[in-house]
Amino acid sequence: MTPGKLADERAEIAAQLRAAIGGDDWNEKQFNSLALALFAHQYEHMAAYGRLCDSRGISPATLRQWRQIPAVPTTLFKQTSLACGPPEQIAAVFSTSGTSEGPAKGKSHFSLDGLALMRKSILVNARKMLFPDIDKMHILVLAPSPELAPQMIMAWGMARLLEQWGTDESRFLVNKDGLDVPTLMSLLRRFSKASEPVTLIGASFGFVNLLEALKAKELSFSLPAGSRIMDAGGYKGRSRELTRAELEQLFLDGFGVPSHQAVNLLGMTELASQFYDNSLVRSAGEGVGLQNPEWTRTRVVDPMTGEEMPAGEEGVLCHMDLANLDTPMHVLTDDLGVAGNDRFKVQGRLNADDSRGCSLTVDELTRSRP
Amino acid sequence: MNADFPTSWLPPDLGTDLSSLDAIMAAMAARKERLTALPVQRIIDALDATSKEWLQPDDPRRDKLVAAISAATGVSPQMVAISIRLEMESSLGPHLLAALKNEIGNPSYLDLFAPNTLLAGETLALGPNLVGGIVSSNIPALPHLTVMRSLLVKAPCVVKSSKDEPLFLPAYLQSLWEVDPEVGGCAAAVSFGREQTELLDTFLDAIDFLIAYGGLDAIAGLRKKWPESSRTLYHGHKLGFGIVTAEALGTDLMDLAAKIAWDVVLFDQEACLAPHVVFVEASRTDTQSLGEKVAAAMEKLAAELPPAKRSLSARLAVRQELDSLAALDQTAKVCPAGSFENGVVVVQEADTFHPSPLGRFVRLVPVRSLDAALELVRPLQGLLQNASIACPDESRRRHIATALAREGVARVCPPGNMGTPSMMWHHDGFPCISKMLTFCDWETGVHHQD
Repeated sequence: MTPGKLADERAEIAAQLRAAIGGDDWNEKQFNSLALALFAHQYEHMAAYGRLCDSRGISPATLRQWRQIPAVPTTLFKQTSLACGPPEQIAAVFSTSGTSEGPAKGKSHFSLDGLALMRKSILVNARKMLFPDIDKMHILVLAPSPELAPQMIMAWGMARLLEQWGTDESRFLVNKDGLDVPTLMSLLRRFSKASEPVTLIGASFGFVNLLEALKAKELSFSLPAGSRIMDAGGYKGRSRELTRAELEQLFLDGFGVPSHQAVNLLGMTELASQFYDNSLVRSAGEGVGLQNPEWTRTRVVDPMTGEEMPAGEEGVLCHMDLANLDTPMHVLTDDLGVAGNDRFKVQGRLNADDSRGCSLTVDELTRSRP
Repeated sequence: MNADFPTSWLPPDLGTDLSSLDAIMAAMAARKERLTALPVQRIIDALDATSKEWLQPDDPRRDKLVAAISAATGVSPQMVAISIRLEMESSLGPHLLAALKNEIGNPSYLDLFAPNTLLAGETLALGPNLVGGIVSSNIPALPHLTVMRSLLVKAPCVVKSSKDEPLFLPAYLQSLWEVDPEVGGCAAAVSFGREQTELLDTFLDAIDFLIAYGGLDAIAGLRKKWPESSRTLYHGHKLGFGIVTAEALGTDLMDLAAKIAWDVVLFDQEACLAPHVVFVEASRTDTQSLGEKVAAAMEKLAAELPPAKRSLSARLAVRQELDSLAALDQTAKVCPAGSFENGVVVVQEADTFHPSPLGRFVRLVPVRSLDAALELVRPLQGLLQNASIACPDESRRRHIATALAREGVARVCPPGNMGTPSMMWHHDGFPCISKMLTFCDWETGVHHQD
């Protein structure tokens, strides 16, 4: 297939997916048929992925059900370029931090169509889970801007939230020297005084560091009603680990934001879509957990066989994301999780180094090599 | 063994109880004098009799322990049982005596000043006052080695057992105590969490020699508290590999494959002795043919010694490895041992040493020459433990063994013997018994005859 034809095919699938993501008539049949179409595209144009599928005897000709689509382990994103189409059609490449997993960084490639689809996914999902009730709001992001961190997918996504919902005073507050605490303090004071609600967005471990520093200085805010917090990700060894309840207490003590206004988000460089928890939108009595937007599925699997674990049992999280146009749509993570009631929870990360015996592990060897 | 186990097989989990730990350390240290007064032969006899107890053909108490260890670790009962048998078979009196002679010449040095035939005089060897053992290994029956080494040099010991497998050590100590309370009373097992730094500090403060097993991070953490010195034996994680020369492929291939398979299967490949990779001096096609036979032999062994239940992370590691091979290496040949659950042989050309995710997963790498294999292991100097050599030609085998020794390999053996070193083996390349000793040489001027 010529690059031009590939681009046309991609544009056609992207258009179908964009329309679907914006629509409200999702059903299993539609999900399945879109998944199979996207799989056929990725199987044909992503050579390494095609080989992986072939090794399991799976091809578009034989596949009928989205669950059978082979998932790609996140490690493979670090080992090779997993992209559909030639390099000149790639508009953006994001990479994982690589801080907790050795030197190799996982990369995720996006065409212009892919970026547009990701944008759509981010906006539709955030409207439902984070901003169901507002059109404009102050948004302060405790992370670097895309200009400062062009490789960081989280920065790109947050910039879309600012574009759509942010007031003129909304901004990114991490510069090359770190978090601009004086500006953050002064803006929070001003918004509080004017009774203008604000959304704070940042990485979970960043919030922990900030709130503990505020606590040490005996500083706290009582942010206006309607204010909310969205914290992304876990800790990944970056800060001391807290339970969700402890973090929510810190939010309440430091910012005066109650737990039902504090939303946790799971995002990954390997996925165009994110998963919010239902804190802000849940009805009374409903449990809290991460929720799949309609164009995604999360399963808890036995990683070796790919089979789903019995309901309620711990396993490895495996995400399918139909907004992953150019990068594998089905991703096997190294997150430990459980699922139930159409939601899931991340229980922790699998330790690559829990060998039983005294033989050197792959992880140890990787770290001990010069 | 002639009685039921005590109601609890577990060493007391000390939680945060500093005073109990203090009391245990002090009680053991106080037994130094009595232990020193016992002749070394009595200690050897007690250890020998204990090993023999564990080797009794029918022993319901041992069977119960095997079942309990299997339930706690996921290692199959058959594998737990064979681990105990193999460890005890190499821990009999003659082995212990040979190990002492190998490292210190005359075991009588441990009792009193004894004639030294090489010196115009006599020698006395003194062991530490109190040995602390930290065992992390879940290779069933391995922690007893720390106890044996300590007692042989007349040092009482306190061994912190692994949280993942705390069962074997107290059971072993109980049986030793039943055989000879004077000897058995000089060793204790304790248990506390790795986060209990105050307990660890108390433990380290009380001892004057440390034997520690663990991963690279755990050992690095301990080194900060207890720097490497002559008073330490650190056994960090290491790895094994095999070499099959071209000539070996002209011998009985089925037999060779069965031996390689045994080395991979034994202890579910979790020992530092087990091979991650076998380098084969042959074409890819010939290596593949050997690989298929190894996989078939592993499948057969799986019926006899079922594989351990893999943890989720181990299962993920296998999946990641298989997917990586499928996506990136079109020439690699993956041979499941009947099923992936039983194990995997991967025949793969490689320009670097790819370690195995373990759990019965071995790579066979075709190489042009021995030098090519040495090039691949050279960057791992300091991490190499054990190598098997399949080579029918004696002079070439000697050449290879010498080359491997110079790369830092601490043990060389034929295939099929990788998991069963003798008591005399210099584990990690050290004289593990004599490293625990200090010597006094009394130059009397009198020459003694053998």
